[in-house]
Amino acid sequence: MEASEVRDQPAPVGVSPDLTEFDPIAITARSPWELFSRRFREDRLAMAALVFLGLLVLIAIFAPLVVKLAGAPGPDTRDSGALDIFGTPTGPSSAHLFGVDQIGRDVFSRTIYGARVSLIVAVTATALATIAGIITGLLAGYFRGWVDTLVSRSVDVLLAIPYLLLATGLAAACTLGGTGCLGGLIKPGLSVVIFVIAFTSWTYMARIIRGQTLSLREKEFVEAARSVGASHTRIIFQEILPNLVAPIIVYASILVPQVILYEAALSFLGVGVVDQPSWGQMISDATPIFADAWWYMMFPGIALLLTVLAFNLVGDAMQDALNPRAKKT
Amino acid sequence: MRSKLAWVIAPGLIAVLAIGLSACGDGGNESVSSAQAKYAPVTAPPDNAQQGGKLTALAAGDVDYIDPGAAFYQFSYMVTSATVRPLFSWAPDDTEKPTPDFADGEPEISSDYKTITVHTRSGIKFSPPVNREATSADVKYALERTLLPGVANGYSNVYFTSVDGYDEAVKAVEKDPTTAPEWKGIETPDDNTIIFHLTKPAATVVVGALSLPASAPVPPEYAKKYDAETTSAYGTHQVATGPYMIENDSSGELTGYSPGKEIKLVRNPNWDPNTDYRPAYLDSVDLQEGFADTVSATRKILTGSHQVNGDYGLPAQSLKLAATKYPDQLSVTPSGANRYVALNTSKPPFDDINIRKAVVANTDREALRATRGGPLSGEIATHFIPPLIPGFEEAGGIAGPQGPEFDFIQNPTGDPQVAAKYMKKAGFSSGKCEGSNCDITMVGDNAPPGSDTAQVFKGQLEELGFTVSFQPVDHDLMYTKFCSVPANAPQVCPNVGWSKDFQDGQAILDVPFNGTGINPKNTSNWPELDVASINKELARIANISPPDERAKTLGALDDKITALAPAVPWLWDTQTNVASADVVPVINLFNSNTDVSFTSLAK
Amino acid sequence: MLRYIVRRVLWGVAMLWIVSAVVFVLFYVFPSADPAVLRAGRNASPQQVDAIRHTLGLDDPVIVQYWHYMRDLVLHFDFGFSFQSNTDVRALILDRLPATALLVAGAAVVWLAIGLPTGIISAIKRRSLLDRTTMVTTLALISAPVFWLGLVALYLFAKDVGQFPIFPGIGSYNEAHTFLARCGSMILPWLVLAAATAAIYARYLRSSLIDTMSEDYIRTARAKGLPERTVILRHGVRSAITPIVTLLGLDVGVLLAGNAILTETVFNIPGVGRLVATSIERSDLPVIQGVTLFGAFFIILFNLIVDIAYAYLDPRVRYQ
Repeated sequence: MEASEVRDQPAPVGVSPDLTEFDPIAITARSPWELFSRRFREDRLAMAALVFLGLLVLIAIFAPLVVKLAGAPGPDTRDSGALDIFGTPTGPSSAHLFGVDQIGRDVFSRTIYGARVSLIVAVTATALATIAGIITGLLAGYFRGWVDTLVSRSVDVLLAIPYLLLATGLAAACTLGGTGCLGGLIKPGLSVVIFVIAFTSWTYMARIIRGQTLSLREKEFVEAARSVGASHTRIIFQEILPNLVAPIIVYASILVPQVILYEAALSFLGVGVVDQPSWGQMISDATPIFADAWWYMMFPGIALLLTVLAFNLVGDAMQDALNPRAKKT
Repeated sequence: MRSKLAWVIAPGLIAVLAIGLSACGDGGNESVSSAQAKYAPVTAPPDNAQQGGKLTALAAGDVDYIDPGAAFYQFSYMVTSATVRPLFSWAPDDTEKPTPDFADGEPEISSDYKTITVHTRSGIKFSPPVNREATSADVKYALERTLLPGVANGYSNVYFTSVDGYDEAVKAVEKDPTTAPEWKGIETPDDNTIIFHLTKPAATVVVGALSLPASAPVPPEYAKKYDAETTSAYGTHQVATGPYMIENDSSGELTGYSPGKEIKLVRNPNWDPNTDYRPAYLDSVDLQEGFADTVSATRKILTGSHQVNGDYGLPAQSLKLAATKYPDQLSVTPSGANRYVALNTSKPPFDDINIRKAVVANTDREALRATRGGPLSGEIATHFIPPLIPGFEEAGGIAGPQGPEFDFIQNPTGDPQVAAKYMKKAGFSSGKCEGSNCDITMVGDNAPPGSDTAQVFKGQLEELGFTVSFQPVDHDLMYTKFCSVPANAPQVCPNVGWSKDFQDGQAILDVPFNGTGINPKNTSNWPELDVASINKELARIANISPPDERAKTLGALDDKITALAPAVPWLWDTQTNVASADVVPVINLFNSNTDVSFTSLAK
Repeated sequence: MLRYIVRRVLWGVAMLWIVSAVVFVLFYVFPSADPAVLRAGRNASPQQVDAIRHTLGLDDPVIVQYWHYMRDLVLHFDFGFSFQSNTDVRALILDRLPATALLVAGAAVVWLAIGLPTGIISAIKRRSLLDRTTMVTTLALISAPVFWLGLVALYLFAKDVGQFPIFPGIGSYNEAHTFLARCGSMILPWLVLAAATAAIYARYLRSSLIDTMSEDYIRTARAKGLPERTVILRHGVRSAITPIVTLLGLDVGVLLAGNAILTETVFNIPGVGRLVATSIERSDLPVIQGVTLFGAFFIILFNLIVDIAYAYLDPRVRYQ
């Protein structure tokens, strides 16, 4: 984002030049960030989404409190009384707001706690994928030559493997080792899921950053820095990276909802998070029984839908706010 | 057989109960609750059964092996019981002994229980393309080929080791794995006689094992070339001796077998009904696989036409639907299998018998049963040998062993006070586990209902202060990588069990609890119980042949094992079967499955 | 042009080879289960397990195993035999392909038929109520997990369990024997699989058209007096079509390669995706290898077609 847009209103016609030049009200210089947030705030749907996400984060953090206030039992407490003689679960009732699942656990409780997994994985996996993508994309785009070839070809190969196959395979391999992967760094559970998602998603950011770096390095200010004798490190950190901040934020915000869906898919397939309540896992549990016991397929699904939708709205609005050139609406 | 397919059980007892007489043994001992008796299976066809028609069986998975020499699963038996004729086989209402099939009468056993003579029928022909009459030499070849690594038979080394020449045959196969070895202890003096010479008085066990499909005749001149391959291709080129055959082409290659999709059975043109006890009403049977969603599959069967279930037991939801809306189409059969939670006795914390007893005492076994559908899914187990297997009554029957040393297993919903008592005995004054040994791992099924059972048990363990890390994996993997491999075995394996191979209690106790069977690569002694007195007793029983003495000794041994609490026995399984309204199903009590050779369609 | 094609094809083949090596190593280094034990069955003695291991060639060093595998593959197009069921892997995959192909083809038709007109109409009626609702609906469809959408669709419309029984439900593909019946069993899966993609295409086409509409040559067309609709349809769409075709190629390639696994799981369709899931669960290495190579082949093939088509249309690309 270049610093050229400091004015957001044309000079008023008919006013003498002296006044327009010195009147601080008529001409206000706004920083790129202020412009960004102003445009963002204009999108009311996105603002609502942001509020929703804020609430969600609070609920996730204070899950035990929320559950207690609602008078629901914990996410792992089994209520045998809520199962009938055939062991099948009962639906929403006064004792259980959202009903129980197939072994008698409270669905409302588990839905609340499920937010934790989704948010933790979303943030961590996106962050890891983004960082990996930035490093590889930057190096590839800046140094070109064999570095670029290596990175690009690796990305090509990785993308040639169907990503769900790679993900399920990796997850299965890392969980069954008992000791996990990478010498015990990746243990079965949350860390496997985060690692697997990051490993199969960094290519997305890498390609974008590479493209951006390629075009940035041809710009005049980079040439200028080079002619002055600036080192590569300086150029990368002081000239290129600052100009990448905008696309990084935009594309990372687009990545987050995809990561959430990805985690849900892995949990649904049985290779995701198992020891904690996860929305995808709940839907997977509900699959054999959804025709009669609709509640624990419906509530986590709606939770997923709203969360991802919120992130998508925010991401969309960010994209619009940072690229006003192409006015979408 | 592994409990994945457990089902089966004595029809005789059920029929007897149904007419209100008490079962053999101590008076008043029921082996079936009244809830189950309401859905007693039909084990004989009606007199006016209709000829013809096609039956479809819906199955979730595939057979384990299409080769009858290796087949082990009950679903596989659904096929083999219709296509091949072993020396003895189980007619639908057989409960104690099999019926002579390729054999023309009962086996002659010498008084020292070391020689078995069987006479085989004439007039039994192989299906096309072989077409010739089967002889005793074909049975000899069938058993010899089970030793080939390419055939992967999993029970020759358990039941046939006492047949003379076993060791030499195994050595010969190691040298040349492409040719079935000569087994000198199997003698065929003429086309219709086969004699087994044993090195030990184990005739009862061997005769029982002759009811498995591996003893069905296999034509060597046809099969040799397939058996010479790394993985024998005889399975996909097999010929039949029973009333049905898997559809094949003129060269013998099976066209009716698509792995994971379907198995098509058609009539065997060379089958002579006069030589067989099977009526074979149906013209064809289509086993369709891939119905992983057994809830919707069951719904299809209940509301559809000409269908039965294939390889699966009804999930709780379906049991409810069938029992409440379609009771006439449901049958519940005790299956001769048990289910238990194995506690690893080889390492802490379950190397301490008091901790084990506490865990058993604390377990709410009815809650575990609820994950499988409640009372209709079986009886709460109080020891290991299941109902109707010799040794069951002697071990205490349904109520189980009594006495102060069995206090930990008396309450089916769990007894926290007894549990606390044993925890205190183990040194935990609070009654709950303390310390680093309380962090344990559990490896179980990743699919319901096994995963649900595991989760419920996990919660119960946590009540006692354990911190449980649960790893759900694929069912087969659970065995082959974790629970059956001592080096990788976790502290708890909740989804294990055992089903009978034939009507004898030794099978249920030996492999699962014999210390000498613990081998580092693959063991089914999941608790890794290794108690010298028990191992010796099991070896001794193998040589006891008189049935009454066997039953008494096995019953006593069952109680002894139960007292050591190596596992939490929680269910004596039932097999639940459903059929469409226009099917007249006959349930085979041995296999706990619909017997397609006796089933017909309604008029 | 020819040189470009040759270069891309050679790189495609090289990628397939690299992928095979990567997968081989991956599943060898992280072994999930001992295939010999899996094959040997329940009660096998250690000697039997060792014998089976030897016959399966599992006690050879990795390099040798890999060499054997590649040699069989290249010379005989032989993908080996499944560890679990001892069936020919190639036959297994080809058996599953028709179901996935039908699913993907049908879904593609649906998402083009719904997505493209929606995108165009939204662009024409920009900022209207119709447009705004469409934008939110498409975003919602993109945000819903496809497997959940499938369950909801079944819950509402499946013939056996739905609230409004209209379409065949789970497992109906296994019972269908005619092509028409199979298509019937696919209606709900088509709609579900197509939903998110239709939404993506609609949004993409819409924004691409809006961008195009601010170009100079469009202004010229408008100045000429042509109606807005003609302007958009004739000029705007033509320029937006090529990237859509690219997207289509890539999406179809990836789905055929096994990414339809979620839809196939929910609806119980015996396709390539389900094969991926079950073979990974059971650590059936030959099947995993086969399916991965097969999938990679499709992805690379479709990428190649798309790249060549682009190079044909835009000569500058050839010299990169």
